[in-house]
Amino acid sequence: MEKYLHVRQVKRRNKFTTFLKSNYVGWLFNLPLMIGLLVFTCIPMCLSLYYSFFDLSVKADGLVGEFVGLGQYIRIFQDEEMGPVVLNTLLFAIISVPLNLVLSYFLALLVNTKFKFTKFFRVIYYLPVIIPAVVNGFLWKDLTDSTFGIFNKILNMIGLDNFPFFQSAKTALFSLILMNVWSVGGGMVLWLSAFKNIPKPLYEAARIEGANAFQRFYKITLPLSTPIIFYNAVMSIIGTLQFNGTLTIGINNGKGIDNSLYLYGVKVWFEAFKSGDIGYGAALSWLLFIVIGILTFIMFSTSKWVYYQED
Amino acid sequence: MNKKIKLLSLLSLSFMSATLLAGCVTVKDPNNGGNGGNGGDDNTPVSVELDPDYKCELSLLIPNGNANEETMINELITEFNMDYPNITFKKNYISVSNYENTVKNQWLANSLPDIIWSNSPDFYTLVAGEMCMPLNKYIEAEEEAGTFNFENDFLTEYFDMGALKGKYYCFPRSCDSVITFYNKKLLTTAGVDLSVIKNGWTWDTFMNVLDTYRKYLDTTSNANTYYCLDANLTTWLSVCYPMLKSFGGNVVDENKNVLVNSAETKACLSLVKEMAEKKYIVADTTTPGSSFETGTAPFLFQSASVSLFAERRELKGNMDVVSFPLIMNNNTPKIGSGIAGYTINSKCKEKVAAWKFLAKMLSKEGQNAMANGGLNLPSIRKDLQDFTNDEVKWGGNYRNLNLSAYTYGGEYKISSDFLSVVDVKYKAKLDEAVRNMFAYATRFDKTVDDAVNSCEKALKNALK
Repeated sequence: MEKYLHVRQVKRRNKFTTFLKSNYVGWLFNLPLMIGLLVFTCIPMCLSLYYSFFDLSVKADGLVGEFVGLGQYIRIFQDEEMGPVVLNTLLFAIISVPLNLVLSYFLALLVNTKFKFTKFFRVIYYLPVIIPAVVNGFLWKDLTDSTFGIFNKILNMIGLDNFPFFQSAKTALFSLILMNVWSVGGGMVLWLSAFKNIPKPLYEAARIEGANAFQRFYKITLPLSTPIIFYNAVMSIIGTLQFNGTLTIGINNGKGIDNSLYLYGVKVWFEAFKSGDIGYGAALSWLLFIVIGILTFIMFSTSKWVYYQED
Repeated sequence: MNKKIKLLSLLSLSFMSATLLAGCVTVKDPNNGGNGGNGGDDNTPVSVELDPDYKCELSLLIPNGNANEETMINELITEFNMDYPNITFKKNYISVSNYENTVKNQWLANSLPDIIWSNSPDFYTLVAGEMCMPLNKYIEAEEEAGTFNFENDFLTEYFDMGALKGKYYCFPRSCDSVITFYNKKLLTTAGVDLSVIKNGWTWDTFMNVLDTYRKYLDTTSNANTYYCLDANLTTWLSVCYPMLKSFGGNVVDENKNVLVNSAETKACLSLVKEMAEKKYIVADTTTPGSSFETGTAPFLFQSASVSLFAERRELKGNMDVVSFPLIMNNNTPKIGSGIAGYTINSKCKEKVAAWKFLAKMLSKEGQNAMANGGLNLPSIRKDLQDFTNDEVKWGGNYRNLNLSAYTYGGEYKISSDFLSVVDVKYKAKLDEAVRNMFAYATRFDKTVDDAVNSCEKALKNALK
């Protein structure tokens, strides 16, 4: 019996060694990413979950925490700032996500057609994406300045009054949505890659069958680009809910006039890094993580409309 | 086999996480209010004797992007090395805008330098985290050694701004106070009588001057975009808090009671609103077309060294300084003040050497060395106040300016002390709430009551 067990263990060990030997190149290539994920994502995530149960402060002994259980999570629901923060974030997401998806989709359709300057326009539309977020923020701050901004100079030239953009609570969120449209080039590239993957014979067959341009778009392009629509939608929702790009353009620590740009991502940053309330910041992050997780789950469970070619 | 590997991985990960988590946070004992070390605040006497041949390396934290601070520190190091040639320095840099976060991270990583640059109110963070140590014992030891007499030799009101509950933590390297920078050329062109602009002038006189300048401005093509006073009246706590205190107002007390909703606060904000309505200052939601440094606004409240502006092409020969206008409404005028200076890390292993460096900074030679390195702010030494004296270096090339404005009215000086009466974790929110209240007062779509109520709500929410 013992001999049998020993033989089985040796066999298993050999199997494992063989597995490692036959895959070590792959593992080696993956190792930097795995270490990075472990050190910069997994461990901080675990730590932030742990921190969220404490009221933390930096003392002589290091990070000192008083265990408060779910206290930080309860605090979120008692925080009077949360009302406008959630409202702003939802409004921003509800308008910005579909707007960017639709605009980038039609932009991609446009630059997917064959005409003389297609490549030039692709580059032009993609350019804003490669501008660093901080530079982008300062750029927009200047462009939209209520007194000296170029946009207002143009409005004045055509006889219109100044538009307050980020300097008024009523127009700040609208201006942010407008600013976000600026980077639709990122989504456009993904759509383009999806269009390129659609087999050309399908279009040829449709043409032979007498389908017009709209029918070809509706019956072929749209269904076959649903995986990218789905991917873009999920990523946009996640990105928009975490958005904190107002830190450079919004006055008052990125919160904007009368907290009009106070988004959830800004709140997390403000609490954790400006106020130094790490426990509360961690709890806010985990709540957002849970909400995003639920939304993503809902999206995946209702994704029967997505058509995968291999299906 | 696979199951075993998975189980093993899971166990290792759990063990690693548990070890990491346990090591990351020291759980506070609810029965024990203390949190460990007190940065050397015990009854053990300290020695300030140091062998001139003593050899060690001291690390030094200074703000980046501030060429003046670096050159003055270099001069101080050179002066210090004349006494202690074997002590070397390693400079580290910190971004002032991210000060709190950076020092906390460096502290947790045990990489916070031995000597730390700080200012008011940022030093509260260091004190609350017990990152810096009280220096009273070193002062006493140095007095016993006959090096200096604290009360007699220094302008102690500036040291008080780096102190908390009677303990000195952060030493000022100079006297930092809010003063009024003004453009003589612009004011003369507008027909302002410059003789009324002198140390100790009142807010009423200031308003009259602003009125004269505004009337002149209204006759020019820049009437709609230029203003009399450069920004920062509503964006800088060192200006708005003393204004509030001058009226007898307050923000919060040690029991976390919010005190802003008072007649005094409203009187102060009404003055701010009046200034915005008369277009002396710009409303918070508008970008002004004028600024002091471009020579298009005649006034600016600042605490910086005159050298920052005096050499600018637009201001050269046209600029002077005067004390902050005194608000006499309540007979309790205040002038915003604060410190920028240095403190010692409570975990510093070379405490005596670090102290000797601070002592050198306070010495006559140290102060003059820093002045030679570009520190054109008044010395914290009483015997170095007369900037017209050639032996006193801080006046530099600006001895023809009214540099006594910086030290005028020591009895009126006040730092943003309300930030120290409550836990340091409320600092950012309190600071923001008060600044917003002043910003609201300048806006045409908000009343004074709106400003007060909004601030009160924000403070109450922050202090929950």
